[in-house]
Amino acid sequence: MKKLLWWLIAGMKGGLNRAKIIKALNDRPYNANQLSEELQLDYKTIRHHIKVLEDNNIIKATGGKYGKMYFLSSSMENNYDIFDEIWEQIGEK
Amino acid sequence: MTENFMNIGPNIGPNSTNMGPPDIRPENMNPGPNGFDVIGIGTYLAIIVGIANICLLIALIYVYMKNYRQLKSKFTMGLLVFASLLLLQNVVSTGFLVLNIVLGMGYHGFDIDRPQAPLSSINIIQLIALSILLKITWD
Repeated sequence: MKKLLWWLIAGMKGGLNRAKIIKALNDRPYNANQLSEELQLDYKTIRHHIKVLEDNNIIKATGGKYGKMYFLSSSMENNYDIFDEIWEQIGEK
Repeated sequence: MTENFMNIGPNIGPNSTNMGPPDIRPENMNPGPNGFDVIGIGTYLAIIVGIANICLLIALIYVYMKNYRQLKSKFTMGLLVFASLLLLQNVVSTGFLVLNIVLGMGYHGFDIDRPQAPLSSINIIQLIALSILLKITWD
């Protein structure tokens, strides 16, 4: 889990945005649209990151096809301190 | 005596070799029993693969550099160093091949051409490996 998080955030393209999504979803569930407004990112970008995070079992979705809400998976919640560690090292912005 | 020196002169260029006698074969003869074409194709293929590797590595370094700026850690640093060393290796080896062509492939071309088949197959494997790495990095 630790290595996976590092890879997803620090090893791949767009890792910062991914970290922002995890951070936001830790506060409360969002759907893709709300996330793109909250983080001021392109909807397609958000969709892409959501798919990667979902494929890697970092986040989970509930609800139907439209307006799916996303929240952190239980394994991600259990390992949130690892994420905090990474997040703290991300500089300003 | 002086004439001898004059004859040696032209052979001390890039075309000269220190392995084997340089003056057995006449100038401009195609080196090797397989003829010029085999050597040419092998070398050009190796150069093309090398340049492709360099492009892939530059793309990887671009991503790793961006990540390193955002997140200074052993992990991001390691990725950056890893890709940079591979880039150095490819630039040097491809550079030698290009130099070899630019400076003219004399007997020298044949000398370093022999291990070229296994070497360029390593390069091709590296190309495949780097493509996979870039793909999962870019996702």
